[in-house]
Amino acid sequence: MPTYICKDKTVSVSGSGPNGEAIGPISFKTGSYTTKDVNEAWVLDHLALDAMSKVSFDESKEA
Amino acid sequence: MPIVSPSNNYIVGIAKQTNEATVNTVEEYGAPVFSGTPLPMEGMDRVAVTDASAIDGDPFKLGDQHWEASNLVFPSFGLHMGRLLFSLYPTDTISGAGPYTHTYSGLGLGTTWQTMFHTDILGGAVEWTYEAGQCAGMSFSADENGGPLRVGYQIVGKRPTVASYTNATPQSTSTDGYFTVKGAVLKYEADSATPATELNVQSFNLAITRPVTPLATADGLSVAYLGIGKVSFDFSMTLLKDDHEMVRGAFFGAVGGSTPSNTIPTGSVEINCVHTITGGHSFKLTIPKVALFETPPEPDPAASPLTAAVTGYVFKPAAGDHVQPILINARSTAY
Repeated sequence: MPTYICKDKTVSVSGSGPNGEAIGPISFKTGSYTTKDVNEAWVLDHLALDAMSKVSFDESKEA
Repeated sequence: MPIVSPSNNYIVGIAKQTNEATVNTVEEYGAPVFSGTPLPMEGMDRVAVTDASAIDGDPFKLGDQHWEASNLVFPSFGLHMGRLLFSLYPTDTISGAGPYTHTYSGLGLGTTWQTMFHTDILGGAVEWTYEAGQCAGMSFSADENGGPLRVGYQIVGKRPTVASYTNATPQSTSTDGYFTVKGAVLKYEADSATPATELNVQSFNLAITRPVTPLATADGLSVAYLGIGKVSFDFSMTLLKDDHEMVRGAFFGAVGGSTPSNTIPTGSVEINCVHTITGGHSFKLTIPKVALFETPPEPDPAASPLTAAVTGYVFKPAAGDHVQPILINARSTAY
């Protein structure tokens, strides 16, 4: 599953999955988070693609 | 002599569902309202057949039983408003070490399901639970009369039931406080992405609408599907008129323009609210890209103050959402 990073270690994310499932909270207290399922990736993908968000893709983990 | 109950003994509750099927039995937040309530909804029709006498056919139910709240208006409570926002925006990113900054994003994507609750206004034993609701819109408004920022809330859900639930301590304007624009900073600019502080806003209304349509099926007694529409925006404000910028921009393509033009000048708006009790708490709505068009005012022999009616046409910004809420409050976990 994909990994996401966030320099601000106080960041925590809640979101909604594709069918309205409540996702999270996902904590970035270590600065990095590897998703457990596709629903978490659904939420963090949206943030990583948002230029205003503090969350980004961990490109070092990409194949 | 019998007593008739007053109609203001009312608190409405809300709680986020973990998924569509898991209905809550415990309120997360309860709040008083300026107006509105969730209501059970159903349609009736008549069997359109001929008869031995010229009389209307018998009625039947349409099978579209669901629930809606189309006119709820809340005071803007610091904690409660975060729950409402998270039912319209699918992502809440929290940061900070207290107070906590909640940044909402993802408009147009799927949102969490909500349960709503209230006790019958007549009081006593009849408690209503409204299952599996999807937010259909929010609005934010204030005017020169002050008081709380008014938060309009629309929601459409699948099934109302009479079922007992556990109350939360309701939000209170006196002990919890609320957000207000009195004493805060309102900013706009007709032709710049950087809004400037302005002192002439008399009133404003910002509405974010996402239609939710209950979809009945041939065999269903109540609605099992909700159709989610696309998000739209309506922004308007009334200004005490002090310049010619917007009316020239609307017709002539630039705030200093003087000949007809097809160009649309875009500006920005920032609405800030302060909290009545806790200084570090705040609420901000940013519209990063918006065309602010003023309708030229009419002369008035009664010599009323010259005001300008402004309509905002919201654009997709270079980054982020069309309308960007940031809530700073005491909730340490993401909604």
